[in-house]
Amino acid sequence: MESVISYGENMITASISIERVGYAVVQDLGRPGLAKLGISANGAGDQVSARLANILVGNHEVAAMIEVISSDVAFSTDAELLISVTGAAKTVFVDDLPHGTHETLVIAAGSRVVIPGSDFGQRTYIGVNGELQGKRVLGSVAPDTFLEFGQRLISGSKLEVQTNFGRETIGNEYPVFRFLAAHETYSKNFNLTATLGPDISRLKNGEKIFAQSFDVLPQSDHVGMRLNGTGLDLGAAGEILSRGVPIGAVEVAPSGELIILLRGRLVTAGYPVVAVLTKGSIDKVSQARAGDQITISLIEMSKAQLELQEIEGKITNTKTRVENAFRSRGWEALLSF
Amino acid sequence: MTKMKTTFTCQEYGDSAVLINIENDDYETRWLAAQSLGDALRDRSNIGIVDLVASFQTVFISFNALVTSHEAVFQIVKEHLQADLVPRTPNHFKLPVVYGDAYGPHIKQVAEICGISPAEVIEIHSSQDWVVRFIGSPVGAPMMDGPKFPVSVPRLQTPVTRMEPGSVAVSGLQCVIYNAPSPGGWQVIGRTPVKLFDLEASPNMPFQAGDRIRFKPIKQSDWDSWNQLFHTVKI
Repeated sequence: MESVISYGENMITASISIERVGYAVVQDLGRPGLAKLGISANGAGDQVSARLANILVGNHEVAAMIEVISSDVAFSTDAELLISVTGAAKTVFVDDLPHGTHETLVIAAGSRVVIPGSDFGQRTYIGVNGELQGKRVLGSVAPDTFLEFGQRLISGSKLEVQTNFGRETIGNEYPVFRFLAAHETYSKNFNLTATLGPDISRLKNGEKIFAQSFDVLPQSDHVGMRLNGTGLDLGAAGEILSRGVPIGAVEVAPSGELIILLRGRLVTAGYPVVAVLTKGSIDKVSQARAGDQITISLIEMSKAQLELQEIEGKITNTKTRVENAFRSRGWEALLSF
Repeated sequence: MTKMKTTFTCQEYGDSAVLINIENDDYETRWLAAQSLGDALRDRSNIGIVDLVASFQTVFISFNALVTSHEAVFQIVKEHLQADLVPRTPNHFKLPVVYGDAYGPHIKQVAEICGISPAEVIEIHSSQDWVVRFIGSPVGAPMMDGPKFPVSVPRLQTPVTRMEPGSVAVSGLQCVIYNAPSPGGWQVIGRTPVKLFDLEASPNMPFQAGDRIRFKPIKQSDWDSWNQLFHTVKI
């Protein structure tokens, strides 16, 4: 994936100091298209929230951002920044004052930002206008455990960002935005949608998975989410020669346990695939935590496509509103899309 | 050049992918057809294709559903599968391997399953060419077949949490090299000191589908002299 962002020469280099964090990484949308090298897509688990984080600050969707997983984060900045917080978090405290998530926020130099982890969902994204400085491998900052690559943020980490914000753009005027960007809300229950997988007929009663509720098991990770079998007897499906598998494939392991392949999945696999989550549900399920409940509803392909178009429509809508708002303030220099 | 007499099936594989199954009585033809289709459609982001994996007899194609559709991809596949199949000219590689002991912890197990000695496992594994069928995960792993053990080798009962980079492992009738530390369920019979993936190089790895690899047993004491990136040693 090529980096499409170019900036002027007079940008400000701001520094973000991480004061406190559990688990956070420098992230982007990953490395799609490298299966020929056996390299997984990886990147933000919840792609729509990650894209939204960038869009709300005027960045190109593929720009680097911060992904925080199941933890609080607190940071301060030495320059004015335009930021956004999307995904699971419910509130952003700027100097102890609460602000909404899924909005565009102006942070004054010296401010302290605290984002508490939420009770539901697990992935929060922080978009920052400009370019977060981070090492790239094969065009992406996304962590990849097989490439032994990634930039984890810990207390004391400093991140540099090159931004046009604060330079001739805002003066002393701090605008308040209300984009009301459409977004998911989470609970302990995840109702997912999927279309039929190619191997459903190899399994006796494979359709049973659509009538069950599953628990997310703690041994889940970015490669695959493991669900308990709840006594399903899916029958022996025989051996399948290794072949390419999509992110979101719902596989049946020999034990009868279901595995949902996530963005770090190996590019080929040999377990029967009974269903494939819709794109929207892949994002959703990446927010599920160990112990959360999952149901999978079978939908027609035509409905899945409508669902996908609806999600993209909302993103485009937000993008248009951000663009109009920025242009009306004379903030063209902040826009990368 | 052979005219392809293959049929194939197209399956929807989620809202943004298809799975193409090549059907033909001949294994080599199925594989060649899958690889040819893969070569023709890989890196075609201009027509909405996002990613592609051509394996033994299937081609997985993921696409941008806002740009194209299952039907449009099926149509493109159909057109390409009517083309002639061009056999590949393989490159040959000789890859040093330290077999057994800590380098190949499962060699005795594999020997036992096959009812032969570890020395015979090495003999079978290193006396014939392995054919690289495709490149898979993790990171540039050559998926190979060719030489045949007396029985199909089962997977490990309990997967290993960390395969050492360079591990040469077998399962069923296949062999793979793990280029990156990763969990794995195949039986490791040896390890190559040559580093087969280089992020800085172009290409990133020496092999492509169709190439032939002959493994060459080496002594543990020779490990260090071979412990280099693939393009700095002659393999």
